[in-house]
Amino acid sequence: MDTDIDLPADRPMPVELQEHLWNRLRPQVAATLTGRRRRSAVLPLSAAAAVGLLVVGGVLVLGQDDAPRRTIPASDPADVQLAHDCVTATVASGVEVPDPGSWTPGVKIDADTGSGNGAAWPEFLMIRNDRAAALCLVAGSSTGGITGADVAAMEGRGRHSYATLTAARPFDYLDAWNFLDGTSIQFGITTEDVVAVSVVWQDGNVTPALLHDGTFAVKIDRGEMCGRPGHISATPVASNVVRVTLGDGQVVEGPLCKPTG
Amino acid sequence: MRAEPENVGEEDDQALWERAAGGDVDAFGELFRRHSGAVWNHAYRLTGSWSAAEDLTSAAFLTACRRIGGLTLVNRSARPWLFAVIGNLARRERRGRGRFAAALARLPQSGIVRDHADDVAGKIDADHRLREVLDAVAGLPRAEREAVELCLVGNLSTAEAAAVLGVTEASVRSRISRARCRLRATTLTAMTTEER
Repeated sequence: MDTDIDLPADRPMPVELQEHLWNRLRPQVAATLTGRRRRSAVLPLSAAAAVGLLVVGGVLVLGQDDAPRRTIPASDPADVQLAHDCVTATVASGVEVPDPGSWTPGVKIDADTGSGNGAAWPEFLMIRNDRAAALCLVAGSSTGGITGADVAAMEGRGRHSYATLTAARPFDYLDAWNFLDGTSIQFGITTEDVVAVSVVWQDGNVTPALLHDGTFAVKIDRGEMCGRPGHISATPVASNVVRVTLGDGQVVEGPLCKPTG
Repeated sequence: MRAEPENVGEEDDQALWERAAGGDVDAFGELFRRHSGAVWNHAYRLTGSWSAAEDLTSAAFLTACRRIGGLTLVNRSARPWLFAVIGNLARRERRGRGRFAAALARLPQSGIVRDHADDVAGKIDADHRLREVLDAVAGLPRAEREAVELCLVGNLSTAEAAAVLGVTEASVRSRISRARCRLRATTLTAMTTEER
């Protein structure tokens, strides 16, 4: 694609500048690459040990400095590895992921690429820590990292974070992918005591969501991108209705898109 | 998407990348020689400063060096990923965080005076014009800005940008189309060329 904005033409990089930059970089590059070679035999073992700890432990309780502690249910070891790899890939792309060791797998959902809906990655894996959730692009055992990674949101300072959940509204929208065939996957978060989530239609029909460790995902054919003007159901009035069931049997319903103001 | 890697007949980026990941400094040096000019120009276009472009170029290759083990390159070329890293570093720098400055400070200094290109005739006008462009691009929503930085500023194909951003090509085209509408309304010139 040629540029259509008024940008200066490329300048050839002066050879002396290139040499100057490389001469500055080379010692650190050599030290880093040599260090990598030394560590490479050790890293797979420590990664495997970390995965084993999570599986054998079954349920772990982790906490961060000023966030409420939560009970983390056991997850598929492959998803634990994917969550780790997703964060690593995101960091590798130059995005600073806060508390990179704190993220654990949430719900995983098939993007149904076989239906020709235009999805580029066959699966999504939600990941979370005590403060926030994020969405990873997944293909088998590979990951494309966190989609739309935003540091403020990952630090729990975004509009859709665990700190914003209340007893009256124990769930919230997180993200959505609307596909070419009109289908959509809606992603959200819940409090720890939510045991079931579903989307409720006007005719009374219910579409259950997948739920794991305070994260949920549901495929529907009426997408919304909460709070983004110009997209379907940007306003709470038209938002999909979500029904959650708490562990004590209480049922709470409300719009997926949080009312503003 | 390009049918062939950029350096036909030579070892491609993925092969060099893998050798570098195994500790081969010369392989990494070849990647630097191959892409540093493009990265430097892209960094200038994102910052409007040749001095900042030098720092960003160094920071991008340092980032690459540290992350080299966990990445599969897009179309076996390092350039899309390096451009994405430059975009992230430039945005962070614009927000005043400047984290890469600390890493650069640890690099050895030499006696060479920097800012080699700053004396070129017409620099002031070009810089002013570029600033206007950058201000307009900075005002775009994040998703559109990333696509514009990679495709319009960085001249990557929509396929390469889609792979780096983890979205479909259709999504990249859509983002660029929306961005063009917004940019036309600000200070930029009208569209004159077609997407490749």
